[in-house]
Amino acid sequence: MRLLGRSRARNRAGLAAALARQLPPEALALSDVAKRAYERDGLDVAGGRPLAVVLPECAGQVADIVRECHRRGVPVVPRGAGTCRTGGAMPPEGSVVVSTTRMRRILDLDAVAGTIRVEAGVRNLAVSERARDSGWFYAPDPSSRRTCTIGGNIATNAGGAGALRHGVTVNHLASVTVILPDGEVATLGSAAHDAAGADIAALLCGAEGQLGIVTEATLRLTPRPPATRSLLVACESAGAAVDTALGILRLGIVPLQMDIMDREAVALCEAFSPSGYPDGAVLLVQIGGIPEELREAIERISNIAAVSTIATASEAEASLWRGREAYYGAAMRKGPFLALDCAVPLGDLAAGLAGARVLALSHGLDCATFAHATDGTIHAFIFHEGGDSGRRRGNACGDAIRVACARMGGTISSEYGIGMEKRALMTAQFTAEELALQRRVVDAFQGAGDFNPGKVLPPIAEAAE
Amino acid sequence: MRLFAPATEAEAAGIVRAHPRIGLAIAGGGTRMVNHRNPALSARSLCGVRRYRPQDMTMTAAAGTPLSAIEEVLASHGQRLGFEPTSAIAGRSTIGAVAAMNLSGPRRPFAGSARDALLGLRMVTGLGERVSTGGRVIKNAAGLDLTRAIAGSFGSLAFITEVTFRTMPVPAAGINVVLPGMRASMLPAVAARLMLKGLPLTGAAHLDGVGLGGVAGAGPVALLRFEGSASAVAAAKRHLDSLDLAVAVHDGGDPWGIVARATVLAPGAGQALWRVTIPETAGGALAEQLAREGADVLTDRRGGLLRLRHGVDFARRLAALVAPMPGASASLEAGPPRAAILPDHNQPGAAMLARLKQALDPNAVFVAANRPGAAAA
Repeated sequence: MRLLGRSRARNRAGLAAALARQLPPEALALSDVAKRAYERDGLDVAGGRPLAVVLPECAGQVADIVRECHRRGVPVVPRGAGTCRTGGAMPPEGSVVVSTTRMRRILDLDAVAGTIRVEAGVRNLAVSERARDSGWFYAPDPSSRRTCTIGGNIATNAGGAGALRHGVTVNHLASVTVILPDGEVATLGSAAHDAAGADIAALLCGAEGQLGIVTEATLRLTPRPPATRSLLVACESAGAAVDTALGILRLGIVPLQMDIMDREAVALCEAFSPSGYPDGAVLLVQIGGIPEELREAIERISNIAAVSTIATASEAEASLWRGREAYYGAAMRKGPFLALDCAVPLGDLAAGLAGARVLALSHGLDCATFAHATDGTIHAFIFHEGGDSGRRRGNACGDAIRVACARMGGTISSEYGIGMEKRALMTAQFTAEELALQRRVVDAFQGAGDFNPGKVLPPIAEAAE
Repeated sequence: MRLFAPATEAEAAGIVRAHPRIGLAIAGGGTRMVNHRNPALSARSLCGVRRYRPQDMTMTAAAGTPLSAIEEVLASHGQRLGFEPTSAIAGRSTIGAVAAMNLSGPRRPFAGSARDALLGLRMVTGLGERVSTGGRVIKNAAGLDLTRAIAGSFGSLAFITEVTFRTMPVPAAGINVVLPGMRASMLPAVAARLMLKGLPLTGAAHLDGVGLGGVAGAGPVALLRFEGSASAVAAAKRHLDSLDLAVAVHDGGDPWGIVARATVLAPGAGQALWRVTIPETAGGALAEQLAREGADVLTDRRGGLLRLRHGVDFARRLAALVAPMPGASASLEAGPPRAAILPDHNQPGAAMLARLKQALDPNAVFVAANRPGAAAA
């Protein structure tokens, strides 16, 4: 039950003092400057001013903070590195932001089992760097891997471009320690495969911090392929690139990454970071394995596609992908834009890409599109004139594309999550009953607590429409 | 026992709503049904592949579709289920039961579990709601995904009506090899070394004292499988030959069905068969200890799954051995009830499972179905 009026204000006023008693000074940020810095995440829209920002350095401190907030009816907003592009870490006015970025110890690595135990604030890339010498790597590697945290990856069920071959975060999570909204500490899952019973740890993946704060995780690693090769196929159009990509999958070859850039995306990236891409659309493919199987795969791919570049040395590979990896910077230089992350079934990718372009044109907006031909993700960049009206037009176009993808049997979001930004669109993908069920699950876990309120699920009135 | 077998999801929802206070036991094809006092709700009339285009690398099928039918359709397009549900009862198990019981086979540590392959499902909740969760695409970050929590819950949370799962290409080549004389405790490390060389290992088992269809003899023996491109499989064979380990190619049919179903360990009179799930690195050593104590042991999943046959009275000793091992758990797979090992009701997640049950089935319409192994009894 929510506390009302004066008693709630009193509870909040006492919170800072209570936290100051429990935490070392470096774990508590109460200055206006610090609070302002945590008002926004990668969406870059200001949320409310938090009551406090706390930076605990161990699970015990997280539990103390959560209990204190629970007792006083103060909402808690879990936060990793704040790279989220949907406002998933945006605090409402008067909440407490719990940042895990000081919890960055790698606790142990089992090089035989291929598992690693880390604190939630460990950066994604740091996991692979730690595992490198033993021959393993951490497969779910979103493009923010240099900064984003494992805790944030679990909250959004992050996946990289290699999702078809290796899966996403949930497929690599052996166990987690989580602080529930009432401050209870639970350890879920185990290093054994498929321990009996329901996989409750998996429920935390993609819950966007509504069910608790993860403080520690045991992750499953993947053998690092001994060699990789990258190929570039020049294509007439994005649709032709999709055909070639599906042809490669039909050969039984499952690449590590396989990305499509349409003509506009190629031009955008070449202008920003020249990589020698030809005019037109391109298909970039990276395969991994032992050298003899890579030779065999390249031969078979060359039988069905006009491969124009084969990069074998790692520097040559990096330079081939440089343009593709610079796409966010390239888009930023061009002007204000909205980046989408919707997805369609792989077999509908050509139609999805064409549909996105038609919708952008019908809104009078430019778009450049990248796609993961391994999982059907469409990263359309919609350029607008900026300002409120530009943003509105861009959002209207983006929403139309997302809804179209959902109607094709896909999803309004395959990578970034829902956060604040896409709540209203949830009704395009889920029925009122489905949303009510998701709400019941969140409520069952939150009890009287209030974790990351106002995220993911649309307001109840909207869902009922 | 009364059995409902609705032909549509709507009909299933109607049955659930009409029985709010009578526990319903969920059944798939009925291959693992134990005698239950409660009426059963079966998915067997919800049948058929609903959506399959090989280029999507996914398939959506009604829950009651026989696994054999699904495997046949996939094979005709050069695809298969990566998680190898060979422990299912061939021909009769349904895809819904495979999901509900999270049935995976020897390929599990290399290609993921049934749960890993599941992208989404449709279900009837305990309130009679017809809902979907998860999605039909390989990557989906929209909304709370209940798929994996329901998969493996043995029908205690919801009645699954339709599942969508990932498919994988059938590799061009495959080989089974036998390494005689290898100790079980070496299996996890040997398998890890082969994986880290980039060799396409998709099976790593060890047998002690039980033989394998006459091929392996009675001593300890490791059984490995490599599947992949022709060149990768040839490289694996060359690598093993270079190690001078007296490697023999096993070409007497597919031994992995025997491994998955542990048919070589069928208990005789006064005996029982148990299974132990355990972190791989500890599994090999435990297998050796169990063998020393007189058990016939089959180790699979590069040490992560042990099956052992011993006298019925060994139950207490097994429970004592497993209890202090982090992450390990033991259960009875076949044998008399007195050989059962009671599950640990304080297991982590029990309280959270109760919260999930509250959201999905607050009136407790669904009663937990039988656990793995009850079938073989």
